Amino acid sequence: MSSKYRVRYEKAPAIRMLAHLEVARVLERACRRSGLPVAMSQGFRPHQKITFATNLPVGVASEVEYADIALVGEMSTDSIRDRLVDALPEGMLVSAVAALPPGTAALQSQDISSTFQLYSAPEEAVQTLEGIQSADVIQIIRKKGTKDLESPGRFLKNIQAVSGGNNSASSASIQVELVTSATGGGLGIKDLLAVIREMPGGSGVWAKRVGLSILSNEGRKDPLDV
Amino acid sequence: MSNRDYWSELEPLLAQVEKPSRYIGGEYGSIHKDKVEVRICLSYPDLYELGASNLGLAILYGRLNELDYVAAERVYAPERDLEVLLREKEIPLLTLESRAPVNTMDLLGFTLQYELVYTNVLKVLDLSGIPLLAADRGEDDPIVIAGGPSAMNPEPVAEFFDLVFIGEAEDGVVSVADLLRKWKSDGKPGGRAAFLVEAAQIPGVYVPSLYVPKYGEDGAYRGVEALEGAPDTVLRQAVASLEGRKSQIPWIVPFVEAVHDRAVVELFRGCARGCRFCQAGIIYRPVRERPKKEVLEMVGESLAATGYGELSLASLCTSDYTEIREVLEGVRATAGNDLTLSLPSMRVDTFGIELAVLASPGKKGGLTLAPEAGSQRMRDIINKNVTEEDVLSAVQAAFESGWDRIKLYFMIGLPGETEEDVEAIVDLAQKILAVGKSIKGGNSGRLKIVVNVSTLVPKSHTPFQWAKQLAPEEVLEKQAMLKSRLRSRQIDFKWHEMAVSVLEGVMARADRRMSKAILAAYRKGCEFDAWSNRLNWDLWSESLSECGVDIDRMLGERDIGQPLPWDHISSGVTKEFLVSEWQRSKSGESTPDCRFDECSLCGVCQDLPLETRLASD
Repeated sequence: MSSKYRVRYEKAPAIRMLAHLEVARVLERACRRSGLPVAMSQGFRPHQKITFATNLPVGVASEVEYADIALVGEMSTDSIRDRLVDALPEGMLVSAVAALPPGTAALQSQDISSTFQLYSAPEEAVQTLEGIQSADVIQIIRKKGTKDLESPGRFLKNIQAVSGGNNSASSASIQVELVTSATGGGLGIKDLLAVIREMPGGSGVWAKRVGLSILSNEGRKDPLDV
Repeated sequence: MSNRDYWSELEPLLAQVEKPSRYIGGEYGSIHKDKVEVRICLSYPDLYELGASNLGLAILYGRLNELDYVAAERVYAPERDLEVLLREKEIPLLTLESRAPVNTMDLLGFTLQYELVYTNVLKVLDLSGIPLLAADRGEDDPIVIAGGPSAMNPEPVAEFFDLVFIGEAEDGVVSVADLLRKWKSDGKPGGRAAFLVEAAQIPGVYVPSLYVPKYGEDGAYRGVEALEGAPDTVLRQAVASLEGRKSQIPWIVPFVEAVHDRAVVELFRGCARGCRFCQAGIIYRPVRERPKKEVLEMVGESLAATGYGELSLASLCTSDYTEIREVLEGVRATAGNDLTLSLPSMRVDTFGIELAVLASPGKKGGLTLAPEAGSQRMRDIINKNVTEEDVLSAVQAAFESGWDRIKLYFMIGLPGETEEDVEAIVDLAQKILAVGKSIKGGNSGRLKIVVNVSTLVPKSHTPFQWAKQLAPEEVLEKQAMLKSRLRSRQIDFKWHEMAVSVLEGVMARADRRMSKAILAAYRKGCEFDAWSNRLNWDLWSESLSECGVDIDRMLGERDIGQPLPWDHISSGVTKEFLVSEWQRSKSGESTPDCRFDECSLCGVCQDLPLETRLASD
């Protein structure tokens, strides 16, 4: 009998240089250290049943990452949280856990809205981002080459300059909303950072995800509100 | 000293380099201390993901951090992309823990796991702003110390190190740290020079600057003269017993995927099989097994402390642990079947296969065996004590147990090797494939034999220390012959790059004059020489010839009577024993394993306060 839980954790600025696979390994090992009875898959190399619902590029921090963990049997969400907090290294804190009712849709299969704060971005970055938002088509640079993205405004929503950001490393802080669809594609935070890095004074820009919600016909929903 | 906050400058730049989490520290299990009297930085001079898997350095990190007055920190060699940024922004190399410049440490220790890291040692010193030559260092520079197996011939790197520790250092480093503490609190009387003379009194500590090498008019090496205050011979140190020593826990769990990304429990040190090419077989004598009860405790503790799903039971020959079967059963009872268990270095016989089955009851990945030589004559010369029948019955058992991919390790260039001996590698590989086909029948399509052939590099302190190493063209000829003969869909031939073995060989038995060539090669841009795709042989051969190093001479045979550059470093094994083993090898006489047979009088248990300790005693 296994039951699923959704865990919300942070990837603090101190460990923002971790790649997604590294973050995943940290959580997997923390689960083993914590002694939580994580359910195992079958097969040649059995692995823990943990689904990483969100992922971030190297260099991006977050207050709101999610993973779904299957446990053998049931446990209180408080005790899951406490055990994970004890087992995680500094910089990864589990802030909340919710039990998932059977049949809960995976986060990856839904449309998601993320709010990112950008630190150490030049002031002119707001105009640059607005330019992207209103463009008919933009070029995105990927490892395999460039590709054209039509109507980037579908993905890049509210752009705001935030004055007096509370992070000391910030000279200016901008907040943006990015929408990702379950079908993939679109515009990622990595693409925005790449553009700003090319601007004068933009080489030190970095980002942190500060909000994430599920978009549905009924409106926005917190991933833990299940 | 600069007041710049280097870390704040560096951290944002890390987004521009590959695998930046190599450089950020903060891993689970890492130890951070504020106010201490002695700060020590330990370095594995290669990329983080290689260094993080090194057991020796992890033991020292744990041992030193147990001392409340010491902070032990770490630094690895940065990749080229970061090096460029550090140089451009004038940021020195920082330690992973306190993120302090490495040159502000009291002691900087390097582990020398093989000779091919020597240019990387210079890279770490250089990027730290520490003078590369010990003679150029000032009062404020860290004391630079080396240890590890390659330190057993410290001469090629003698000019770079203030101190070299000979042997197992887990007790010796505490003596060095104690001395540093006292010297600092006394106000550093006599300065650096006085400290070095004091350090030379610690057993196992070699101070290169207190030994003057002599050369004949013909350029031949003529031994060293020990200056006043330095012992004539520095004796290798080793712990008497592993019982009660569990100091590598807590273990650091890297963010980056390490080459050996798993928990490690050391079963025993030493190996008494007596393979004549093997340096580890001499310099870790005698066999000291950890009691079984402690092994099992450490298995449980290290898995709980790290969260690894994979465990390695490490030693020089894991199947030799006297209670290995009980340990494997115990590990399964503690950790369950989900744990992936790896047993490195298994012996080549059916018992080894039986254990491999116990270790991985369900899955069958690849299996690795090391017959080392193709012909029986060669295996007798190297004292492998494995017959062809052992090999064939081992692979038969492996195929019957479900393996269909077997990796075999061989060497070419063994003393007295003929063409027939090299061809015997091909014959043995084909016989093994035939055994596989007869067992798998209609399913033999999946069979794969990987033949991995390296070149013998004669090492100091071994019976083969006098042997000739293959010249570059001989290596290429033998490899070409193997390549042409090992053409089969089911046999993969892999070989070690000639240049890598030649360079390793040139350095392994060199004297102090080699330091100049290493420095020259570093200045020309050589680094990461252990990576065959990065070793720049053109730059290296330029450097060697500019510095007067004659490759043929360095690879050539030595006379038994001639002084060797490491004669003043004693492993505890007597030269008489090595000479007798060298002579016995020539007549193909084997020498038995002293654990169960008669004592071979190698000198270790006679001259050092050590004896063989078996878990079953």
